[in-house]
Amino acid sequence: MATIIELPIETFSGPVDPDWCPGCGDFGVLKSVKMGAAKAGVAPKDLVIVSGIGCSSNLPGFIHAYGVHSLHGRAVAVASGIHLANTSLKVVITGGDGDGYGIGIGHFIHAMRRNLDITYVVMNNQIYGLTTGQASPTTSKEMRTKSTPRGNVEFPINPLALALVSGATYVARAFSGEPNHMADLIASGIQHKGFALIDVFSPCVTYNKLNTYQFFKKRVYKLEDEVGYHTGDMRAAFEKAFEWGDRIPLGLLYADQQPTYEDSEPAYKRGPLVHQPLGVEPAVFQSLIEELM
Amino acid sequence: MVKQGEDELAVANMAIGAGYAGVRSMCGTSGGGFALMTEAIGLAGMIEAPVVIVEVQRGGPSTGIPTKTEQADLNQVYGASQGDFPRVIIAPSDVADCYASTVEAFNLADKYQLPVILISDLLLSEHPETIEPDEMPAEVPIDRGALVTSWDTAKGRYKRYAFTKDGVSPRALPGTANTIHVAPSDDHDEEGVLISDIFTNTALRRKISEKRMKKMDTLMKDLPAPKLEGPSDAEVTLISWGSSRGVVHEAIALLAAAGVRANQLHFKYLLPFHAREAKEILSRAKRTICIEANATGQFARHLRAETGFSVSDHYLKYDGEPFEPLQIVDRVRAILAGRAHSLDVTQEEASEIAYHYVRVHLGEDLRPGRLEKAAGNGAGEQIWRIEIVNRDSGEKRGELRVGVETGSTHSWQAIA
Repeated sequence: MATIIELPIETFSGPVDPDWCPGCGDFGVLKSVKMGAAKAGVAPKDLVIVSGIGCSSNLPGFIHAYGVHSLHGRAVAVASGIHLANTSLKVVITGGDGDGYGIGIGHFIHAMRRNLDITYVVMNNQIYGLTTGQASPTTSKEMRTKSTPRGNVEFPINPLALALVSGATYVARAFSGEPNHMADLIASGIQHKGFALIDVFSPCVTYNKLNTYQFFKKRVYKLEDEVGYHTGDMRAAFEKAFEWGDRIPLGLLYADQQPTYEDSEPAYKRGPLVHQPLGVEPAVFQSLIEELM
Repeated sequence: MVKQGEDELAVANMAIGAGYAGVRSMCGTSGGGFALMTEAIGLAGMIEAPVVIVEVQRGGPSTGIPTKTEQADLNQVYGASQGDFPRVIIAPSDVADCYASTVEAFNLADKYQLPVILISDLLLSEHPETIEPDEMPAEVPIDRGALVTSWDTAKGRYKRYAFTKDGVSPRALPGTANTIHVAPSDDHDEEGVLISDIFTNTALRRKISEKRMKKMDTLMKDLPAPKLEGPSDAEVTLISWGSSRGVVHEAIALLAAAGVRANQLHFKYLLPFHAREAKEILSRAKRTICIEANATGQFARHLRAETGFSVSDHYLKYDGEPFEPLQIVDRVRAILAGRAHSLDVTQEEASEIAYHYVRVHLGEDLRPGRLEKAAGNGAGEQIWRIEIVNRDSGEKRGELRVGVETGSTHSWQAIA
């Protein structure tokens, strides 16, 4: 394996300062993404941050790296296309729970089924923040929000469980209150060969008065501190994915090595697609004509 | 590399991501799928990513008649995505043209960094055609446009969306040193920094909008203008687009044999539109008939919107079947003779309607027999009286009544 050269975090200082609310969990995630990329030795020119729409989706503008700030729910699809076009880049998707687990849930599941070698950092604040406080797919039942004044009646999405059943091969959870822990998970996720999900509790200080820093600080514990927990045990991971109450686990729930989507693509034998010459060899062209006649 | 995605939302966005990363990418679908690709087309226009999208029209609306042909998605393709942004719409006319148009589409997409839509139809997709081998050459011109592969920082910061005079900005791909930028779907300045987060910058918004739209003027020079084909002193000009080119051309030869002088103005480039050339040609036309396979005259409307020119007449066909040369000949002659077109159900059509009723309700051993028009007797319109008989014996089993004006199946009377 190639030696990883860690980079100084200043390498990733973005052109613009974030305009998130003071205290927003996304500040912690921004720092951890920078630290994670730095630890993983990814140069800014080889890093592509892809987002959708939302407060957290503004992240690409705040980091020195390539990026696409795309459409609501479509970041995973855009990222998949970028990755398939140039497998030598490191693609990291950053977005929120509304974007990723609501409108984007289809692409989320299918990308995991493909075990594409990309990393997805979801800033899960259990609310739609940018649009000022509607219930999101991960909002707890009974919580009162702008769109659920008498309490949310919808069962919340469980992103970690969804990831486990869909074929993701690196499933982790982090918390903005623990940025170093998150940075390590992001770095490992980037280095992991296959689909890596890091769902992050990133509190929205303005619109979610339930799932606050204090709420999480009282409940979170790290799986790496749990004696006998094995990240190769799917059943154990499921139990942890459903643990939500007095104790909420952080850390790597599950990791596995499985063939990626790219492993089965013969075109990559000649390197990343973007580096291959355009045009087709006469013999190949002729065989296509014969096949189509 | 060919991949099948989970839906058209995924596929369009993946193709655009791939285009952003520097690979030539294309996706295709039919009308319903294109509707799902609509939002992504605006994304490509805004972030100035090349992508080629193929829309193969079939009978609509909705699921429609999915195995039949139509030309009724022009409105959708033209209107695809909110806001103003540059895009190209090309309608190939035959099999060889599908090949040539695709080569052209990729070059236009790369050169002008925008979405190029190829609007085809089921007829083109599914009919066999004999072509010369040199109409599908293995070697084709490849133009990647203004790609930046290195950037000297002494020149200052790289600007992905530099405001240039022709609207085309030098394009750097991810992986290139010193050209780092974010491609945002929000409106932005020359470097891709959003302009509306604190307060919207009206000056930057105006100038970037003009930069993008300038591409439409710039790329026009790459698109050949439509040409009038046939005698310039024709008594009627037939206007066509897309797959109808060949059948109209054939109809014109048959019309000539019947003593009718017609010429043809066929359109391949729908956007940007050659308004000046079209107006000039049409101003000399004695009479115009727009021939297209949809119910509302979508191309005639597009022509009028782009040029101010209203066609004299239409031949609209929306029964799902392709135009036939004799159908065109008959309709052109009827129009020239001043015969009003009737929408009444013909004898052949009455038989078809009867066949449907038989298959659905009565059984495969029966078929329509003799038909005759009769007074409605309470139906509110004239009716077709259709005998339904046994296929083998010819024995009459009953009578179906179908409205001549509406085509409604008014009644079925079995013989006791």
